[in-house]
Amino acid sequence: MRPRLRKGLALLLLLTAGLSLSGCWDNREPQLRAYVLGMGIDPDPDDDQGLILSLQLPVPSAANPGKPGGGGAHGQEYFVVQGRGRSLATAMQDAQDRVSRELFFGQMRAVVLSSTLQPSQAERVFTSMRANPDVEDTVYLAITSGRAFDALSTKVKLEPLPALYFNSVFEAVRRMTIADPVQFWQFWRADKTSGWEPVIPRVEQSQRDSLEVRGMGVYHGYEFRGFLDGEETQGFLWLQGKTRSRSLVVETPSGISAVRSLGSTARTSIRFEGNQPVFRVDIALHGEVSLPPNQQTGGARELEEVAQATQDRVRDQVEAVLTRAQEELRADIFGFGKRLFYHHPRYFAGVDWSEIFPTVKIEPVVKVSILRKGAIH
Amino acid sequence: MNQKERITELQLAVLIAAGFVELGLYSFPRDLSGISGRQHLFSLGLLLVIGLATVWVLAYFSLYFGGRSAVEAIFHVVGRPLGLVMTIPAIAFHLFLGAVCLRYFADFTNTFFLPKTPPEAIMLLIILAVIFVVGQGFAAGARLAVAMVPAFFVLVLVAYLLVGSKITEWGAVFPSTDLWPPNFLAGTSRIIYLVVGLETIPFFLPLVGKLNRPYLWVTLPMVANGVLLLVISVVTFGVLGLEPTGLLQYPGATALRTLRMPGLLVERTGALIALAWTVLKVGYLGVRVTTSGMAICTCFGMSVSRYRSFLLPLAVIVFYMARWPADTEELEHLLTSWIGTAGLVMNLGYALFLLLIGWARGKGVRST
Amino acid sequence: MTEGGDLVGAGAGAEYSGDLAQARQFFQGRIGQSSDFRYRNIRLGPKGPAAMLVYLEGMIDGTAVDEQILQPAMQNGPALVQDLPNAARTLEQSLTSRAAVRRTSDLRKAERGVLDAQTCLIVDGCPELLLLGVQKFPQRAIEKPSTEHSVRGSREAFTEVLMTNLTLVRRRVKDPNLRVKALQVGSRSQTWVAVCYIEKLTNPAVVEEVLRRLKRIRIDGLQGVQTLEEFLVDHPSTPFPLLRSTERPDEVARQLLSGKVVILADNSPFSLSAPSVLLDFYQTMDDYHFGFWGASMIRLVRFIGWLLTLYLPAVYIALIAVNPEMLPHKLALTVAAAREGLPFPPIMEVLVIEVLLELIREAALRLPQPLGTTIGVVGGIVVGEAIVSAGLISPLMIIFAATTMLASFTSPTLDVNFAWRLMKWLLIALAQVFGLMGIIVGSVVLFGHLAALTSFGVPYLAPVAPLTKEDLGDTIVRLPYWALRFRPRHLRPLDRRRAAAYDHPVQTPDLEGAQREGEER
Repeated sequence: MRPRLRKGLALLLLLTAGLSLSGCWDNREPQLRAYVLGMGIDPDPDDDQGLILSLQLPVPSAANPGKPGGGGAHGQEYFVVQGRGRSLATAMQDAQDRVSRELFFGQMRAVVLSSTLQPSQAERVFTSMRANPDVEDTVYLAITSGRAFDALSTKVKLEPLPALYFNSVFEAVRRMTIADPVQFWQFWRADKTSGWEPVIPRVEQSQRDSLEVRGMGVYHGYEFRGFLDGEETQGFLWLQGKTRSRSLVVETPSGISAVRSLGSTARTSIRFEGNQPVFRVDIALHGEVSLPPNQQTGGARELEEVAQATQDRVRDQVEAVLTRAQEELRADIFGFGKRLFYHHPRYFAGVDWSEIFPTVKIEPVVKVSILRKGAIH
Repeated sequence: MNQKERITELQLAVLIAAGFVELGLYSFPRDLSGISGRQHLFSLGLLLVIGLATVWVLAYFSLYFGGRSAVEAIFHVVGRPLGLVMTIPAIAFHLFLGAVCLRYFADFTNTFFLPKTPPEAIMLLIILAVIFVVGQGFAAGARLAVAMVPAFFVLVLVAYLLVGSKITEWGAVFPSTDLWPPNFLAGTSRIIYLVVGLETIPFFLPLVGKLNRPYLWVTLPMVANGVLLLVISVVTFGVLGLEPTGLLQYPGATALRTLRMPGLLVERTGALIALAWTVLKVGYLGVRVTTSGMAICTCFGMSVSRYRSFLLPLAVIVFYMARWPADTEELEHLLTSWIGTAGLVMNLGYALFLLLIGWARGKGVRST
Repeated sequence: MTEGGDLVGAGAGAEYSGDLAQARQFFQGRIGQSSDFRYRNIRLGPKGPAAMLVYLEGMIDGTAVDEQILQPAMQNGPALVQDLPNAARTLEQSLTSRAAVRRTSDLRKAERGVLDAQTCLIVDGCPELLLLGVQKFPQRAIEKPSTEHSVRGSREAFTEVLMTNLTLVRRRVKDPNLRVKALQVGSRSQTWVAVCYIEKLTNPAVVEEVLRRLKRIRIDGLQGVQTLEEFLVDHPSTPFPLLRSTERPDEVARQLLSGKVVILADNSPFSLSAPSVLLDFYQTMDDYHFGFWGASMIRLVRFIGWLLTLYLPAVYIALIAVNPEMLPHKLALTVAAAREGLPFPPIMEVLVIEVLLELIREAALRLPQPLGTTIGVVGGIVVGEAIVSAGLISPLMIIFAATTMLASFTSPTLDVNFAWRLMKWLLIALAQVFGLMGIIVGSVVLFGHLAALTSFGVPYLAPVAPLTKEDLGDTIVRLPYWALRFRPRHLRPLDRRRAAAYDHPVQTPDLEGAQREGEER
């Protein structure tokens, strides 16, 4: 009898468990969710501490690329709903009140911030995003000088939904954009690391119906400090050792030439001169000449000239961004302070890095080697 | 389990691994970040040394008392009254360890996967699974562990190695050559909980059929764990950096969740692999309940093969214990404050104490 | 069937005294009540003793009875009269029939023999009766297997006649150590069951246990060997099959050579083999008729089929309803679009479509073949199409359901297929509440159950758990024959070695030289 009694008890336990577990708390039919693909955050002009949240929601039946008949009428693939509040959570609640379905942030691909957000507002935004379990760490961030709402409302060619523009642009393996993609966790990491300030790609509405990536925005903590233009952004990327398949056009006595980067590295070393740290960054660039200076020749002398000109160009870009970051923006976006923190923690603990960064000596040393001459010769 | 039920050496190794690898696996870098800083690898190295010492002492203890299970050996050496005084807190402690693990899992799942599901429901599900699996018998549990635990190890290792391609913060990874003050010692003391839960050795080693190389098979799980912890530590610090790691509740999981594989059905591959932790949870709790049941059997003078009689009440006790910590912070505090030390006392401390008394009284039977 | 058999359920005897009248009365009082019962009073020669032939009409070879039994018996008539008490013995030695001949003095045994299509010859004055195995009854010819098709293997399948099946097996295993132990099961059906094994190879403990369990069965009728399965298994309440059944004699030969015990039963074209582990249900003869690359690919496809059968519906529900953040965003939008306007939640969709598919599957099985195929096609396409057009189910669900169904057909045996189809509902229920985590917990529980199962003491998940590295070569992939030199360890055979080491590379023949030599000659 005992085994049967035990089995009976087990069955009873299972039934009880089954009944009590039948809540299906996280179970929601897809048609009862409103997928948020992009989120934009602007300051509320009517409330200096308030935020305006713009949520881009696709209309699934219209936005579905695979479904026959999908695509609907022009402009109906998505809509943007707004919510206001002093915190992200209250703004989300406000937005929820305007939508019939439950907002779901698990598929969100991009968050666009306005550069006009106050530091306190930005801090609240990022802290809320960190605390919200639905918001993924790998969501892409972007900053705009205009309204984030406009960026999210721009109907972009080739993409049914503007938010997917960011996804396509930043997820492409061989990215052709000027800026480095930044996911939320990377921003947060830079922010929380001593001696390192975060950057976010800058996105602007270029014409009525297109967006473009136009450099990077610089933060110091949660305070927006300014934008880097194209040349400065390129310099920043050289200093990070991140190559882009971009061509540099250089001018030599032989003519105009284009050099395409095949790969670059940046190695930082620290030495002390007296009590002052000096950073030396060795940048090595390997490139190929995609457009030789002279169609007829292209010999060793011309290539040397191209290499030298490229070197000068890269150094100019690097020095431009260093000057900008140290003198104007006063934000260490390169992580020099972080290196000091890691390798010379006692020195770092004894200084206020934000104060001394603008005066620190940084020596970029650029070496360019042209590996290939391209397909011309 | 009948008296003749035996396990193999491989099953022993896997059960040992299932019994201690798991608790705090995704959260331990946080404990290292603030204290050890760039000396975290030294903390891990020291932890591995302590872990190896513990497994060797426990293996020696088990062999010294010739086939007796842990509690039988305790009673044999110090007698029943003192033995009960030593055993009952140990049982309670190990059940509480299981409860902490259960609560951690509920919290982790709530945070990342099922935000609206009550943690009690998650805990109840795991408890029911444990009741079922343990109820199938010891041999079945050992076989299941061999099928699932190594697969988990390999999967998680591969996933972390893939995430390793995102490492940029090498400065946070490489140990600091500046070892003063030696923070890594304090760091090790905070993460001792990673190598408690080794009471499996004196309980399961006597159940091995053909025991040829006991020290090798008890060392293997500790070394495998060491490799896993090393990889998790390197990747977590390398991807997230030193200070951000200290601010996260589950930095190991956060680092893993940055792994995305566009093109696959489940794009958030890292998040999916983090969920594989579930398998180890059932193993961890299952082992706790089994050893506690065996200990209680011996306390009552029953055969250890009847440990399943206590399965249901022990599971209920673990469930209610798991509801004691008020929040995650209290849970974290428990782990880093006294659980590690208590575990070390009850594993290594007990074994050394009993060996000493045993030697002094000539109570051991040295087995080959 | 009289060779080497123990008679089970023979019941208490009725001793024959030698009086023909007693025998007549006995038979007429029992099976003589049936209209197909026949008895012929004869005299064995002009001066021979009186005798009686007892048989069931339609079950004996009348010509053989006349030519091989009666004629020689009549010629021996005078000799029989001289020694009547030993008449049965004399007849047994003098008959030229190749049929089996047995003597008994128990009327009940004789009765059972008659019911077993034997002819009973009773000589007046002789206390022993002769049972002659001159059966001839309608039987099906050997046909192609209906459930386990093979592209390259033999096309023979078992029939309902036990002797024929044993012959098919003996043709493939000509080992003198191949033993057949026969016994009857079923008090009313008296069905012959044969237990086959290779002595000095098969572990004797398994043989003993199989026989012991068979002898303990007390039922009145056994119509198929599958009935035995539920009595013989270690765990009767599990949905998982613990004995592999097959209708292929080549598969049975392979099982015997692995060290298994095979059970055949009369009136059943299937056999059972013991012990059987889970991976045995995913091995077919075709795996051994293709090269190891092809065979490994086939096995991998089956493995993927198993994964899809078990996990696809649950993963669908988990990813659609509970953890949609895991999907790629384009797929998430596609799914959301596909589900717009649907009235049912995903779980109801799964339920409806699975029930529909089961109905179509059952209907197609029960109907005559041409009609069954049509119904299957019509049901699938029309109902599937209609149900999508009506907006009740999403097209995605049809794809998933069809894929699951196709995947389930990759399983070579139906019984394990049923088990997985049942288990997937557990995973679906857990996925509904707990999403992907529920599926993982469900898998742990499921594998925990599988790990606890044994088949005659052999763990069901062998050789994966407990892990036996050397036996992994014939599981999900199949290594070449020259690498599979040992029998599976989990069967504990007495002779582990299956093949000797084979030297590679083989010597290249000197074609040119041989040709030249031949031409010169």
